[in-house]
Amino acid sequence: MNEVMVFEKINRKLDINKLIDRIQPNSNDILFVAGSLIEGEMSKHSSGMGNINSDIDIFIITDDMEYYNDVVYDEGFCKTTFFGLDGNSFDVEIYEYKEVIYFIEKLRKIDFEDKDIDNICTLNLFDLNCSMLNQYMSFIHRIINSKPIYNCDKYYNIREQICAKNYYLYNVRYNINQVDLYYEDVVGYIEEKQGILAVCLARKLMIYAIGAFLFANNISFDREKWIPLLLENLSKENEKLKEIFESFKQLSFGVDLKNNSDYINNAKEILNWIDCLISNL
Amino acid sequence: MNVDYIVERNILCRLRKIRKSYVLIGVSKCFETNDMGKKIWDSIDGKHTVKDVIDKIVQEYAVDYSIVEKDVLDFIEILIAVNAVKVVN
Repeated sequence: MNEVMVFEKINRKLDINKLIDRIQPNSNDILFVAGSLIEGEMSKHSSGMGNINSDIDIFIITDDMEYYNDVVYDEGFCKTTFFGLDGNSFDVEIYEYKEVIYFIEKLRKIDFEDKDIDNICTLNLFDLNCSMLNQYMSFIHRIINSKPIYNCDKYYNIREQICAKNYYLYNVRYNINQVDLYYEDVVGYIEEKQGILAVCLARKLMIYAIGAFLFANNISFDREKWIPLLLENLSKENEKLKEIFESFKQLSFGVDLKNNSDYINNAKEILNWIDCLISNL
Repeated sequence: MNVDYIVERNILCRLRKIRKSYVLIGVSKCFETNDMGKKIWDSIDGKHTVKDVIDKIVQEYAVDYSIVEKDVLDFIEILIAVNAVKVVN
């Protein structure tokens, strides 16, 4: 493993040994680095992510949560702290090993072919509250898009246990659920002629729909802000994807909305677009 | 029902893929449909005529016009009956 990680885009370096010295992990702990700067360099789909103001995220998986007491936030299942080193800013998230394995196992066991789960709300497929679940899903995204810096073998062992198929399927389902959750609200605003509200909410749903589409194409993300960038990068691969990106841009920025009737029409067109996009997933 | 009609979707209705089946939701009941039903549903945009929908499918699948015409008209009649679409002209 290189002892210095170079971020060419922002002309910065990260001395791995110095970083580990600063953290002083237990000998069994697993450390990996993630975040937009790392992700932007790892995959062509993520090209363009990260900038001069981006932090570097460090993840620690440990058997001993009590060891890390000097933290800013302690949510029980996850502790968070921050520090700076050699011009880089770091966000550190600490997770307990057995909880991480439990979650990965739970994700692996979901049977999406099972008819009985059709009537179960996606969030209820796990016995975790919404905030914990979202954070663990984000954690899975981060581990998929990360580089190990300490106890690398153990890191790869955890990665191998992740059922990627279920991770993507879950997130397709979650994003479509988000669309359906607010779909009738948009229709209600359209029927009530509340054009601005209808367009604002419809555009939010368009982002969720693209999110579902991305996961269906095995493209992962954990922050909505990256969705347009990922779609744009993906659109360079073929004409069909380019068509989807161009129609997204047209509906978002290519329309001249002058009055309430224009807002209503834009919201209706977005709903149709969403329907066509996700009915194939 | 004739081929010069233009039909528009009820915006409450949307098609979702649930375990390899297409299901129309948003009206009082859910309706399962097949690939052809999905194709017709996707082609209904409130702008093109039923004939345009038929022509598009005939062109794409290279099948006999009369067969597609019957399928499309039958399906759209069902959609109208369940309030999933309405005639706009």
